[in-house]
Amino acid sequence: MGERLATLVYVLIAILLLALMAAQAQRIESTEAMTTAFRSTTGSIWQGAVGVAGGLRQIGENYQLIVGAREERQRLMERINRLEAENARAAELVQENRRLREMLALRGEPGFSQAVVARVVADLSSGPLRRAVRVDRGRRDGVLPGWIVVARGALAGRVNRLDDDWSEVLLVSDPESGVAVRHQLDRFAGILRGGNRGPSTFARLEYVPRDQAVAVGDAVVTSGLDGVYPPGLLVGYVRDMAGDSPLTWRIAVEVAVDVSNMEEVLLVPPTMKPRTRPAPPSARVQPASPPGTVTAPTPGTASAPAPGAASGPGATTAPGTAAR
Amino acid sequence: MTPLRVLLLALLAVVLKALLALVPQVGWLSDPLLAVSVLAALPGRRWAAMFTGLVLGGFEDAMFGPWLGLHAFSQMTIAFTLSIIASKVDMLQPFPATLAMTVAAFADWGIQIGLAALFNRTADVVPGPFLWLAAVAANTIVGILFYRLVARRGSLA
Repeated sequence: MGERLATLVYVLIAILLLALMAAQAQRIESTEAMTTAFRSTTGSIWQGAVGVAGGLRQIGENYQLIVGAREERQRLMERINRLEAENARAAELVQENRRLREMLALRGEPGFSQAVVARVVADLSSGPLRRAVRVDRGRRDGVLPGWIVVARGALAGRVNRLDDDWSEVLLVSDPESGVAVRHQLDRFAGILRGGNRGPSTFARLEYVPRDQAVAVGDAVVTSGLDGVYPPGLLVGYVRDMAGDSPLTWRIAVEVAVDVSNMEEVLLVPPTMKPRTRPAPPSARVQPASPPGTVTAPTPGTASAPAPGAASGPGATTAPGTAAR
Repeated sequence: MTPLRVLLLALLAVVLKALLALVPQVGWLSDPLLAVSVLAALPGRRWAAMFTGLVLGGFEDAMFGPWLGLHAFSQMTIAFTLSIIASKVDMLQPFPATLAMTVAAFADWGIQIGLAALFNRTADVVPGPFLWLAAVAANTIVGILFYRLVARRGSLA
């Protein structure tokens, strides 16, 4: 029954629709008005759908914009990284240039004309007993054992052994190192030995009489009394003092040059003329010197070694008898 | 399907139709409202199929049809016929449903072209065979999407 009724209704509606279409085909005025009214009625639904579709489209476009912005950001980040790397490299070149200029200026001074510029290629420090570096100049460049090594205008060490293309530099802070030094202000002398009791940048100045006026920050320079190192080269700064005995101090000296701030060095023959290269002048308390701030010493402010001075490290002055 | 689900599907189809209208050249080929009419016919309920086809076709006439009654007649006829078939054969399975979508898409354009010829009207859907086939393919795809949407929710019957 229901099926038959449905079929009947379908047929009726179909006939009505066909009649409607036929009427529209004949352009009957009433059907035109009906069409217009019908379209007006349903138009709001379509407008809503169009609005929703437009919103969805906007969302899609915004998504594309976001994706595009993300890709653009990625490209910009890569560019920034690349430029930062280039910038860092340029800054590094500036620093290297400055250091090399300092080297060149040093080579222009008397006694440094035979100096060889070398680059530190390896840190050979190992354990508590060794503070050394390897540089890329050797026998083929005229370097010989015993040549002194200067970096940033300060004493770094001396050539210990070498091959044709490299040299091993024993640093001032090496436990086996010994340098005849002098307190820059009060001029008392002593032997600076490397050590392994403190930080690797520290050396010790022993048997300094307690009547000497020593303060943290005072500069220590080479005395030249060992006949190895030229006098007046900056070696380091006083960082600590402790009683060695009732009569003497043991002074901890932080060396001015260490592996951490050595890149290019000057290898200088030890037979150069006695000269003076004092440390930065005068202030009793010297602030800690960060890498790159060590001032190149200026010659001509210290005395020549005494005639008949001992010829080797350790034989220069007996402990506790440092000359004023 | 309940009338509410049919209504929701119809609204979704209208929005999809509006979205497809934004796609140049090919957007007009597909007819999501026809897919809803077919889905309404698949359970085999003639009244539901008939009125769904009538209403959605009438809406299409109001919006896109060259004259009133064209889509309404076409979709009502297709949906009603499919509902008769579905009352005898299980059309809810994927393959019969897909086949129904394809046939319906083909028949829709055929009926419209036939009516245009009957009333000496130049319908805006007088296609070449390739375009016709493209429309059939597009409507089949849209129909499958709607079918999967409804079938996954288990609300087809």
